[in-house]
Amino acid sequence: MTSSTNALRRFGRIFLTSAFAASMSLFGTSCDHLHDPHDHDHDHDAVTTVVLTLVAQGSNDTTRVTWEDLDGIGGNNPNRIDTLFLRPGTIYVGSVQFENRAESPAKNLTEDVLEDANEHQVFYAVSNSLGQVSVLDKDGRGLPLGLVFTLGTSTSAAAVPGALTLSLYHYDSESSKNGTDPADETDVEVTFPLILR
Amino acid sequence: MIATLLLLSALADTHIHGIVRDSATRAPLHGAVVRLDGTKKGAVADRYGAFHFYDLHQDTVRLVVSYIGYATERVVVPLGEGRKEVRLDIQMRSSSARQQEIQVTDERIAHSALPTQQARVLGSVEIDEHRGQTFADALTQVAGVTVLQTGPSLKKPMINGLTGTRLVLRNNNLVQEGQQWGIEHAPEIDAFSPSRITVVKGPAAVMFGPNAMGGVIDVESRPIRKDPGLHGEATVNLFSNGRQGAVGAFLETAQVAGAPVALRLQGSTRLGGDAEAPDYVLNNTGVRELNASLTVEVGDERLGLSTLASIFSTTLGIFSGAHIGNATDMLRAIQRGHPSSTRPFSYDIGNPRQEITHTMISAKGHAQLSDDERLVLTLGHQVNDRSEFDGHNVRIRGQGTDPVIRAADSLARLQRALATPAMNLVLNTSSLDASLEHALSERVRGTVGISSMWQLNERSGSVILIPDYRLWGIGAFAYESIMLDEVTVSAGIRYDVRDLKSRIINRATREATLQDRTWQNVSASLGALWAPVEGLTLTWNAASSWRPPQVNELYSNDVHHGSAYYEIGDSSLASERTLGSDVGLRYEANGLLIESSAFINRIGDYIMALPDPANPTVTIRGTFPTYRFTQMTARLFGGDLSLTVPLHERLNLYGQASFVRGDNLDLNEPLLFIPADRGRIGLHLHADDVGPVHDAYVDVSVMGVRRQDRVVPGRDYAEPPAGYLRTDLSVGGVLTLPFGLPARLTLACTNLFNAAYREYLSQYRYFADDLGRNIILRFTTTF
Repeated sequence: MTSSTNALRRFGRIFLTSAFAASMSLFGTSCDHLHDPHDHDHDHDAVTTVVLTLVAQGSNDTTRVTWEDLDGIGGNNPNRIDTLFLRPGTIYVGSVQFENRAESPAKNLTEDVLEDANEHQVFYAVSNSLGQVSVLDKDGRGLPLGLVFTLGTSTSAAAVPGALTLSLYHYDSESSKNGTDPADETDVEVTFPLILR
Repeated sequence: MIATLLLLSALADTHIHGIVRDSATRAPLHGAVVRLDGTKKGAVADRYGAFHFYDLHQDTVRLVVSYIGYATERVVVPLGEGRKEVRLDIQMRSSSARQQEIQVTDERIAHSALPTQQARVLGSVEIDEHRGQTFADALTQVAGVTVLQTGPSLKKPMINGLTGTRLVLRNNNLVQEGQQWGIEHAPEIDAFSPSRITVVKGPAAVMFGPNAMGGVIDVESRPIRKDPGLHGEATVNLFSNGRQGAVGAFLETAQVAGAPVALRLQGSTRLGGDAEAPDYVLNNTGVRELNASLTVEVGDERLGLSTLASIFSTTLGIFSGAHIGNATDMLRAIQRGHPSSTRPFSYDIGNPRQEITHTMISAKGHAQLSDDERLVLTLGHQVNDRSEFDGHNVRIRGQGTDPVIRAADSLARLQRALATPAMNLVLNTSSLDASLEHALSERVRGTVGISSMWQLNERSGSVILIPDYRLWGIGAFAYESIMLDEVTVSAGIRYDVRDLKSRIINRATREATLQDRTWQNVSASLGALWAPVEGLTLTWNAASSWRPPQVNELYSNDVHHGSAYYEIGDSSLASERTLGSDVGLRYEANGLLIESSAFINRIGDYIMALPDPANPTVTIRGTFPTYRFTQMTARLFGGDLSLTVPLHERLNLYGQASFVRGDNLDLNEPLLFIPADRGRIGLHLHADDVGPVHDAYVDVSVMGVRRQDRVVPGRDYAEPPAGYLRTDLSVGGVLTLPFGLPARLTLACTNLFNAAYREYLSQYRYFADDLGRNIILRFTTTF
């Protein structure tokens, strides 16, 4: 028993000495201050805003809707998702604009898509058979691009609301774009509620 | 004098062979070193404890048999008089002389597990024969150990269904501190470091702190050889799949210029290209690794210091087909069933990729205070620098009106963007452990100590999976074992405090706030071992331990790109508390070996991310399911069985089976990522010599894995994959190279029939099949 109490006593002494040494080495050289973040991802332009402009053929009535999430992925939910109200049995000519409005001045990213048209394509899908989209513009190789399109709405003003989903794909290379298949990775995918009335 | 030597037969030829066994349990001592005293010849006992020497010309041969944890045996074998074959049965006694025990105590199993615990040690030969493309591969031969993988070069070990921050990985006396919270974060450990690996199945929090609630994997350096001269080992591994090559080597000496300073310099490198599934190439799954370490030891058993400096650095490609934009992409990839486009094989590693460097320095000093007391101090510092580069197409827009300037600016910005990680985490950890090993009496031994750590994490980049934080922890522990005649009883208790201060960024406002949280609690364990008859041991353990919530569970706030969900932490989470028990049985007689264990673990306030279907995360990239970290009562139970049946003197049948069940008791539903039931059955044919090859063997085995049918329907993007069978074959033996160098050669083939299968625990199972056939050549020579 005495040997064990001696051992504990000796251990205690040695421990106190070493704990002191440790605290010098661990805490002495570093302070508790947590540094400011140094994020440098500003070279990359993220899309914050998608604007759709639709002009009705004949009447030239213009409808403009915006989908916007200024604080990017996560954080608050999108700050603006407009509902698209369209007339039944009408053909609209539409165009889409991608912007980065988180920066000032805002950047128009549609020009980038246009510049690398061979590696981009915008797809449209309308749910509940409320309409049909045909893409009008083509890239340098004659494949659809999708910045300009027509949307023909269904003739019957359906009571059910639907949605228009727009997806922008940025392909790894020209060769992986074939005009019909989406890329593996979605760049932009937004959905506007759609009501015919 | 303590050796029991049996001369079983004396026939004709200069061939000495035998078996090295434990005198008490009669278990073969795999890895025991048998040297011919006065010569350079040596042999290493194989997994059956067998060793061989041929073509001996002396009249009398002196064998020196050594094995860690056992008293060195000297055996004199008279030859001559026409005696050509001598068969020996060398029974080694566990070091009983106190001094010897103290000398080896650090390398003994008992040091990383209490004597009553379920632990398995993998020796150098076992690691050598099973070394794969990652550190974790060699561990899967232990029943109950599986891997959670994100591709062929990224594997995390899992013990009885628990992984990540619920396991402790020790690397050369330090708890490895990397970013262990993520599925795609593999342990930063060199698969070639000369080591013994102990796998402790079951809670070990009393020894290693709160994170050891699920078990411990302890990688310990092999001791530097004490005999004079320069020694070393060189290993080459070649893998057909991924056309991967890896080389490791070390040089060591017990004396430098006559001074008692032992040195070991070790290095390894690995280069691998795209791995291949049976029907296609898995693009961007290459790996590059460069590791080095230096060990310096001074002093002796009474007073000594061992220091180690090591660097591990790797670049890992993340399979391009698994890097997706949103949930729609994920569903489309699953529906397609195979990668959309595959490029030809390449060694190039593009984005997405990971670059990790892990540097560590440790100093371990020991002082023999008296015959009964030994003090050990371990001081360590580790820096884990992890950069993850996203593969998203970057939209870069140069500035300027002049087209030339604008193009140049675009290019400069693109290069900057590609070289800037989406997330960079630098984790600095300092630690100091002090322990006093003591013998209170002949029958009572134990350790008391304290353990402290201080950690700083610095984050940069756009991804906010974890914040900047500062963590410190301190713990005090004591454990004792009482050794009676047939029974050993172990008990331990530990108290820990953890303090975490984090700088949390609000994603919406971009403002940062500091949060400080402290947790403290007690862990305890009690166990017993009973050896009623020779060859039979029964063990029982019960333990209760806790684990504070981890930083990702508290503050995670981003998309997981490999799995397309948005994960949100909960800063108010409380600690987990586990109460578990396990029983084990080991029986060995006449070559028959049965090992079996069963466990049950109830974890209160178990932390897991669960889907929040009412609040999906809507982003401009599409809508992601939201997962929130939450707490529940979980229960895990399971068991495993390993068998070796001698069918013939040279032929063994072996088998292994394990199962784990995990449930969320609050919602009455299965837990995620629990390994499916699995088993392996194999035949091992062993021959003393075939031509010039000694210790030749052929081993064929079939692994069967059932489909994991215990999942919540509709919860996952894809249903669990079907069960599968995989056949592996390996042949090997020891050749003698010129200059008498022994060379261990193994030629193995995993997935012999190139079967296409998917493993439930693989993150790639949504996108692609697992690896196809892989032919592996392993070569090791020791000098």
